[in-house]
Amino acid sequence: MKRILLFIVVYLFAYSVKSYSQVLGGGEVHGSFQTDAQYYNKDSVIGADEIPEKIAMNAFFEMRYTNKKFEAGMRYELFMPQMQGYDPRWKGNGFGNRYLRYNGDKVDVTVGNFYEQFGSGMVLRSYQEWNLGFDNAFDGIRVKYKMKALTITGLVAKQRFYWDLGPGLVRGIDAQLSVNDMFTKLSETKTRVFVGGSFVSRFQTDADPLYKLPENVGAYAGRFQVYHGGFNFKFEAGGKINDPNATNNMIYKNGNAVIAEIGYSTRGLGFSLQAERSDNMDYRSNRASTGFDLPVGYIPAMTRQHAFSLAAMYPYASQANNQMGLQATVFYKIKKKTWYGGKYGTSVDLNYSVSYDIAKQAPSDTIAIGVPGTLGYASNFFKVGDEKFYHDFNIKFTRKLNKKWKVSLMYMNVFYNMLINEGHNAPNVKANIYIADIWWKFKPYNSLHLEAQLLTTEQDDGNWSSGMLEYNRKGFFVAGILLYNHGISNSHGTTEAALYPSLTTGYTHGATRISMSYGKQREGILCVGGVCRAVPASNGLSLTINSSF
Amino acid sequence: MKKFQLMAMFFVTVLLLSFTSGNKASLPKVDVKSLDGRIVNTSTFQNDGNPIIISFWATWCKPCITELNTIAEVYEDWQDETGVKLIAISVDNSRTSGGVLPMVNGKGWEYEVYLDENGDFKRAMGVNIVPHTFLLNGKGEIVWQHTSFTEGSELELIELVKKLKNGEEI
Repeated sequence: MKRILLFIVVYLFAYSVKSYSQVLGGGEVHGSFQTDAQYYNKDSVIGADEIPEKIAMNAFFEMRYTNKKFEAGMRYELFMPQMQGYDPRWKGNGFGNRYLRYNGDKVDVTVGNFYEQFGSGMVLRSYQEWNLGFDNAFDGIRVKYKMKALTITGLVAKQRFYWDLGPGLVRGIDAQLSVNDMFTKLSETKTRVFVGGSFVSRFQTDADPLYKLPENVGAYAGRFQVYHGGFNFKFEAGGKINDPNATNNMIYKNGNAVIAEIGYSTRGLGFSLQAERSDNMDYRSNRASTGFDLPVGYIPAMTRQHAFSLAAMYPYASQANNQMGLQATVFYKIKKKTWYGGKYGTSVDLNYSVSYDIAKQAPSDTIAIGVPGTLGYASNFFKVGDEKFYHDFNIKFTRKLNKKWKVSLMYMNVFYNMLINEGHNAPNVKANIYIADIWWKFKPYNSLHLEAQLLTTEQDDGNWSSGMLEYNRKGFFVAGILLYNHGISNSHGTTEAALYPSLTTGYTHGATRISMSYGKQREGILCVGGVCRAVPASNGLSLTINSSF
Repeated sequence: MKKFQLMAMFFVTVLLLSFTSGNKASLPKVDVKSLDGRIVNTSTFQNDGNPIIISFWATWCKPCITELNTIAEVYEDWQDETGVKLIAISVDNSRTSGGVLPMVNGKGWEYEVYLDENGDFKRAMGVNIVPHTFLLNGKGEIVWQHTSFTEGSELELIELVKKLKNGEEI
């Protein structure tokens, strides 16, 4: 009763000030919501189980209010229950995110939830991916101070852990300096130089009965970037003091990581080469956490993120504690109006990435590698280890044949270490993937899209093929997908052949989109109806509504 | 918990009030990064009183690349006819953002491109799926938005730009 009264009072108040809204209001509202509901059919083949509730739903509704320099926002989230493929700890509902912010020209203060990234994120990154069920938002205070050439960011916060907060307290400071803006003489030169540095510290009490653990774990990183005409060079190196934790088997070794990138591009040609080495750098706000829980630092997987379903079947999982990798990317446009480039030119996308472990030696003559409570191992910085984790070679040609037809052809070769990427012992996967993607625009607003994919491998679940036919007309689309696993039988077991048919249809009007699909679907990135999004494995009827305002 | 509900209610009230004030939304103030490393605030985006298209995209998003490629073919004509400018915001994170500059140049796109590596601008604009395209009038007000790209979407977009150029409401 009290609550209702309060409600009435608030609304009366609201109406009484309505006429002054230009004074009190005059601000702006942005927001969005998304609802995913799924009715499940039981299916043991694709790992989609029947759930007792029959229907699962994930939804959020978020709004931000801005008025000049003031900003406030909230996000209500609902998992009733969480859809399959999402962590069961999400189950529940409530306001998962709320903040207040003063965003001035020099000073920017946020209290409540916020997302932040220092440099490439090596020692600090909080972010959210709703469709993947990931959110490690900070909850605390962040202050930014912006000067002409220098930006300083400081924060003190805990991290979101599903509907709770992680135990560790995170303190961080970052400075980014634009060297050119320091001197008027340099402000218009062609060469631009940036330097930056961060220091982060995590506090977590030590209640370990066996080990004496550092309660304050510091991590630091420095970065350097140069841009000159078509050239760019980026370098970031960081380290972490000893931090025995669940991911490194409680060893006392310090951690370090390096990311370097060099690129050149000009109109029609783009090239980049990246190198990465990461040694014992898994950094979390809870030393007992593993998996996707409570990361503070972010060590990216240096591999291409694929959008075709079979190309994305064996993705590399970044190993923050142990990896050495290289990636090269080339984008080239073959001249148009030549016999080899065609009337409109041909795009060639080439990418290669490879990742190995780091070389490890025993820390001393009497201690073996990786023994808990010891330094764990010694490692030669420049030496590549013996175990290969991943490689991906892919090349794609895209040519517009005429006003109506466009064709893409892609080939990919992948090596996938099962133990490293999936955590179970099975033969490493070597696969070849062939893709043809054909567009036929038969009227200005009407198009047909055919996508054919084949994956061949002797390992894991064996060969796969997939076909998709999609029809688009203005905001409307309908697509049928047939995914087929040919099955395999070898010394490691038998996988029965299985067909995964699904039908998806939807309509987009402005920034509102409704789509529905029926059938079996594997998890991965699904690009259909003009958008791409991550989807979990499912079997049944699903409905998605998405809107922004 | 009660306190929180009260706060929520008050917040919603303020929101409702601002709905009634009838203001058109302008761009939020967020820092993004240019491809030569500069930090640029989105509130400084401008085009001499001409319309602006803002397109959120990613290197891993096929329809986004199709959209930017399709517009690239007619972009010069669009600029001549309407003075419109397209600003492409890459939502690639630090895993894939290294591929943005080579892709933009490799495909020969003439757009103004910025990186939104940790999704600050994306969140501030309520973007949840890509591609997501916004249209701003000459005063910098957001007058239209759209998600997804299918063949022909570019024709609708340029019609709207032309309307704006002629001073019509959309």
